[in-house]
Amino acid sequence: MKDVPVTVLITPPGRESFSSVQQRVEAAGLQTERSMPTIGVVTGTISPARISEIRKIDGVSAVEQEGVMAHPPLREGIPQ
Amino acid sequence: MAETVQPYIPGPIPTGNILVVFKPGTKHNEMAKSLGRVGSKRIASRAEFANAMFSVEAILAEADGAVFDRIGVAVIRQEGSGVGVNAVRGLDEVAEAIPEFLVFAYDWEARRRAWLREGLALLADGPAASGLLPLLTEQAVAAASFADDGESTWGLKATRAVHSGLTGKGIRIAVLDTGLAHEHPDFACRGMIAKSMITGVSANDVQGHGTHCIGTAAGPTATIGRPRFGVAPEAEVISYKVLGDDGRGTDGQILAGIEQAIVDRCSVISMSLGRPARLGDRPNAIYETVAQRALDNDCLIIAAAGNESQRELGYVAPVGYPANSPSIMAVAAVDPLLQIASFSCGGLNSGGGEVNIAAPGVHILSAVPMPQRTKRLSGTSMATPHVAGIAALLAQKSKTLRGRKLWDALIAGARPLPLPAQDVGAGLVQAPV
Repeated sequence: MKDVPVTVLITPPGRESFSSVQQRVEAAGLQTERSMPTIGVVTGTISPARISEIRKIDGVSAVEQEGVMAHPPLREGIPQ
Repeated sequence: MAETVQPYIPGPIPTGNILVVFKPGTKHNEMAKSLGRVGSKRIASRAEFANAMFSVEAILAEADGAVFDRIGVAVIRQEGSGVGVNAVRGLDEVAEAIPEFLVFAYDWEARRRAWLREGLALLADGPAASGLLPLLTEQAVAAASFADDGESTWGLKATRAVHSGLTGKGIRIAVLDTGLAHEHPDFACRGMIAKSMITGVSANDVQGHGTHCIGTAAGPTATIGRPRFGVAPEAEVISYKVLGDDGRGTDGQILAGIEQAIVDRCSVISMSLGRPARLGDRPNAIYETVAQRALDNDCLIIAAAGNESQRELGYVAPVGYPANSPSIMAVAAVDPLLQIASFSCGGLNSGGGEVNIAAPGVHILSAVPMPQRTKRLSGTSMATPHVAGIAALLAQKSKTLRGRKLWDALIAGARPLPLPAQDVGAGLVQAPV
């Protein structure tokens, strides 16, 4: 199955524990795209079948499939 | 006092789908292709179901939408797709797009009896008994009208920003949006920093939304032949491009912008972006935790409540993501009469889905990429940078006003409006003078 983009929330934040949790998540199959230690988030791609596995990792408090936000066309008659 | 009988008026109940009416002459393949541009990729047509019982519900369980090409109408699924009514409305092929509502057969006789009872109660006890009179009087008193003039935009007058001696100097505002038009003469001498959170994409603003928001938050005091439109003209804006030139961005790009803004020691993050929420939705756990961590780092996130309401149809949509996070300040939009904007989302969901504050968001003049230079736009996107700019003024006034204290100061300083708190929260944001 094709990998999907995910957002992983790591708690609590803190550079040392953050990197060790990130390593465990990567060992479980996450291909990291961005590592954000200040807010405690890692984004990347993973097989949908392995999402439930990384949810169980100690130090991971949430895993979500990445969503999209979009503006409408920039016109006066369309609320922005 | 006689008991006032309230008539039963059934409110519109949205189905979560969008009804799309195409312009006359639009071909079937053009309809499907245009819907694909806003993210509805799998579109079924009536022709595909010629020999089967046609059920929109069944189709939407499998596809993103269904096109009724003979009548030029489509129904597309909003739930889970992130497709907004306003994005669909902006398509060249589309004449109109509105939320789809459940339709009920009215019990006209029951409604007529209820209205009659209320009318009799009014006659017996006068308008005061109905509770209508005090409301009307308050609205009349507060019906201040603001307008742009040579000095400033109406938004700077209504928020008192034009009367403030503060400028935001020394305070960093992060604007997470489509970037900054670096060649724009209103910003050319400011030395503003622009960063792109999108790999391989320039920080320059092509779409225009980001430049408009930056102009409102921190545009210059004077522009040749144009009113002032910047709330905090000496604030240091850092533009983080988290949405591409097509106006679309991912959670990962937006979260990367928040991370970098905290690292860059921005006191305020202005996010005029979001996606629709449904009635009963809870806040997103990741955005809420990230917002709490931002506050812990003396950084306040301010976000647009959303524009999915159609109040002229009696429909109020709930505050969208991520503004529905308890630790993100949700901003509604008001017009120059200080009435709620017809599109502005309402605080229908609890646990963070409330509106916290309101700001000018109708006919807002600000900067857009050259050669147009300025443009009037409406939306909670335009209201949000008014609040961000005023947050910078407060932060300049006192070094103790950061994070949660800055949130409290914005709320405490708001001007109460004679409108439901569900629509405007604490009221109209006000600049310190």
